[in-house]
Amino acid sequence: MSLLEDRYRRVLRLLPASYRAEREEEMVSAFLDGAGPAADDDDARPRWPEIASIAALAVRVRLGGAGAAPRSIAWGRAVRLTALLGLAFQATMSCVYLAQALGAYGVFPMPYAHGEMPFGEPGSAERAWHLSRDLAPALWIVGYVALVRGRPRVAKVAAVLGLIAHCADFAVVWAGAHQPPFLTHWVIQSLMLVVPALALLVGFHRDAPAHRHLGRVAVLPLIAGAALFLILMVLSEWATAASRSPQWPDMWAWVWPWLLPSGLSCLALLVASAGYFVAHLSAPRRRSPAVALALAILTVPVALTRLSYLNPGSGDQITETMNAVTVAQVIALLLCGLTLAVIGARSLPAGDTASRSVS
Amino acid sequence: MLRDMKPRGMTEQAFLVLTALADESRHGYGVVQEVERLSEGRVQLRIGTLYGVLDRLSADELVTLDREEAHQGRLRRYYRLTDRGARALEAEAVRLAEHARYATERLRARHAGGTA
Repeated sequence: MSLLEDRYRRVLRLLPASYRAEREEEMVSAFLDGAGPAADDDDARPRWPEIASIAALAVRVRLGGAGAAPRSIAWGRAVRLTALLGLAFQATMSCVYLAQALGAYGVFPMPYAHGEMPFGEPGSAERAWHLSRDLAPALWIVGYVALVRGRPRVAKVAAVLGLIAHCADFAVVWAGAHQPPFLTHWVIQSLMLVVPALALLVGFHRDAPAHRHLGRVAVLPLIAGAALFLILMVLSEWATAASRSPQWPDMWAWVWPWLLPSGLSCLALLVASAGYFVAHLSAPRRRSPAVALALAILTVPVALTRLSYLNPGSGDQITETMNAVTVAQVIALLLCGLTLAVIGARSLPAGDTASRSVS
Repeated sequence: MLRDMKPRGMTEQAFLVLTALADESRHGYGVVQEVERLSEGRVQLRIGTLYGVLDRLSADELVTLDREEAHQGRLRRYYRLTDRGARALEAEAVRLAEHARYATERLRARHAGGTA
């Protein structure tokens, strides 16, 4: 075996064993035919475009590509559902952010509006930057709606632009702040965006089945976002009133950890997990590994983000209360995530035999 | 809650692979070479891409394994077009020819209008 052949075989290890069992020999043959006289050269290596094409094939095969094994098809569904649920949450939160931004810009009255444009002079570059930053959450709404309406390519573009806007926002804050925010904290929090976006990019590949959901599915997060915005406004009013009380913050230290985006995501995941457990026990025929695995995947970034809010050793009672709530959230998420992962793994179809008929 | 969308059209890569197999069965690298020749060098299939296309076409029963041969101690699998694949290729070729005809007619009319 030449060195190049050995290197090609190493690249092919990206593919599942069942796929390699059927295809490896002919693929190596095709690679070496393409390499020509260079096949005997000790310095010859697989080219990056070749490696990239195998990596892309590996993703498709592992996530339910054409003729994939039932197990891979189930994993593909789980990853696509991860993208859908993650984008649904981001779309919901984006509605809240947009409503807050529109209120701040005076488009509609807010209880706490101060009647001034928040940043920069009209027509200035500063105003343009803040406006684009405040409107960037709309990209996640576009991504979600495009996905449920059967336009994954549009959804991918919107999600990538959303991630770029997220990074640009951090870069500007980092460059301009006297005390730059913690990079690690930002990276961990970004996982709540990165994980669904990554699931979207890899899960909705060329061979993924094309589905279009009903229009009302597209509207659900928008309605939820509007309702959440109203709830948060009412809670802000209550908190403002309560802050004048000598008992402040009283019960609010127990409430705040649930009102941050990661806290709301934690709440949504715990409710969804509870719903899944009930359905799993009451309707065995409708058990789906995809739902369990998708929820389990989503618990990881949310649990990590909640952990990043821990502030141990502060000494004051308010922070200690919030720490206790955060620890309880993380434990609940881990328990749910582990249980879902076990249920999902056990519900996966057995075997790894693809339906490609090549022999 | 879900509606299946209408089947996606044939990609250019799939069209060229089917065309490459229309006259004779070919092995993997043979298909790569033929596609490059047919597209006058514009489409260069990577091996990962080729086998992704072959998996898709096999799943749709448009191509099938023809035979296996050993060449210089290495396995070569030859693929051929199925009858269903031939019909799909013909339908796609007719569709593309129609599009080309429309484009040609309109360009001719545009040129005629511009010179009038």
